[in-house]
Amino acid sequence: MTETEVSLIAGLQRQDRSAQQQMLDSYGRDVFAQIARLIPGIEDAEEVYQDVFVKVFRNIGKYDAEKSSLRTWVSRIAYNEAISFLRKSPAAVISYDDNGIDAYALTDAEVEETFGQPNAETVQLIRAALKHLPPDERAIITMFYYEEMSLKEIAYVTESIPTTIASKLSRTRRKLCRIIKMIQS
Amino acid sequence: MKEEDMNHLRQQDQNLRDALCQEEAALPQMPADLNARLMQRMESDQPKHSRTMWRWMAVAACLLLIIGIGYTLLPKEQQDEPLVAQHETECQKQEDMPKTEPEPQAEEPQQQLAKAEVKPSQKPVKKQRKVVTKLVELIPASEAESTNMKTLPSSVIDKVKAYDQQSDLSRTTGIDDTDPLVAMAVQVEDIRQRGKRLEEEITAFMNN
Repeated sequence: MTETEVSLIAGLQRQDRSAQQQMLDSYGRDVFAQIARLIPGIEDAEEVYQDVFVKVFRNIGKYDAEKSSLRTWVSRIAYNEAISFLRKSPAAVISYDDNGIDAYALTDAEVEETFGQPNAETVQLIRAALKHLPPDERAIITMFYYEEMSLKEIAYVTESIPTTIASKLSRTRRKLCRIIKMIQS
Repeated sequence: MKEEDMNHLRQQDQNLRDALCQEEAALPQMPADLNARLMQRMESDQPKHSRTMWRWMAVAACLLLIIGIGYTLLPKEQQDEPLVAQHETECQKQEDMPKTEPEPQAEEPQQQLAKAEVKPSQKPVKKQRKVVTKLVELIPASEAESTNMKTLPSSVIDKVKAYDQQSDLSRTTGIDDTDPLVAMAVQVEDIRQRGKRLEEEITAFMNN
C-alpha cells in the first residue's frame, strides 16, 4: 500500500471531506464505468454510483488492507450494488441461454480462431454477442480482459473462488463464440 | 484451468480485447457534476442522520420515564389489586346469588347452636394437669337438622359447617356408633381409669 493510500484511508476514516473528494477523483471514473457496463440507463447508473460511494464512506472502517487493495474493495461494493439493483429492477434482462443447445457445437480450434485471429468484422460480432450475455458473465469477461484483474481479484469482487472464475471464463468464452455463430447464421 | 493458462488466454484473445475496448469507449460518460451532487447528498444526509438520532433519543427518554413511573407505582398497584379483585368478586357473587330478604328469625338457630348448653359433670376430670369441671354437651346433628335449619336464609349457607354423623364403619355395618355423647363418655371413662391406674402404680412404688 502506498503512502498516499494510507493517508487517504485515514482521512476517510475521519470522514474528512477532502479525503472523500480525493477518493471520488481517483476512483470515481472507473467505478462509474463498471456500473454503466452492468446497468443500461444512465440515470440508474448515477443512482447506483451515489449509493456505492455513500456505502464506501460509511463502511470504510470495515476495509481490511490485508484482504484486498482499496480499488478492489470499492469494485466489490460497486459490483454488488449493481447486481442487487438489477435484481430489484422490474425490467427483465434478456440474455442468451445455451443450456442443452448442441446445434452450434464448437471445437477448441474454432474458438481460438474466432478470438485469436485479428479481424475487424469479428470484433463487431463479438461486440454484438457481448450484449446477449447476462450482466454477471459480462462483468467477469470485462474484469479479466479489459481491466486485467487476476482470478483472485475477480473472485474477491464477485464473492467467489478463483477456480470457479476460471471455469466461468472458459464457459463464457465458448458461449460468446456460439452467439457469434448464431448471429452469422 | 491454471492462472498461467488464463493469462496466456488473455494475451491470445486479441479480438475479444479489442471488442471490449470499443465497448468501453462507447459507454456513457460520467456526468461532470455527479461527484458534486454526491457530496451535496452526503452533506444533506448528515443533519437527517442527527435528526433521526435526536428522535431516537427522545423515544428512549420517554421509555425511561414510563419505566420509572411504572416502577414507583408498581408496589401500590400490587397492594391495591387484591382489594379491587375481592370487591369485584363480592359484587359479582351478590349479583349472581338469588335475592332473598334477610329473615331475623333464621338467625336464632345459629345463636342457639353457638350457645351450647353446659352441663356439670359428675366428677372432676384431670387432663394435662388441668381440672375440667364442666363438659360441653354437643347437640346431635339430627336435632340440628330440625325445622329451624330448614328456615335458614341462603345468605348464611357458607357459615354452616356440617359434619357427617355416621362413620364409614357404621355406614357399612348399619350399627349406629356415632352418638357424640356416648363416644365422649367412653373417652372420659377411659382417661379416668388410666389416671386411677397411674395413681395406684405411683402409690405402690412409693410404698416399696
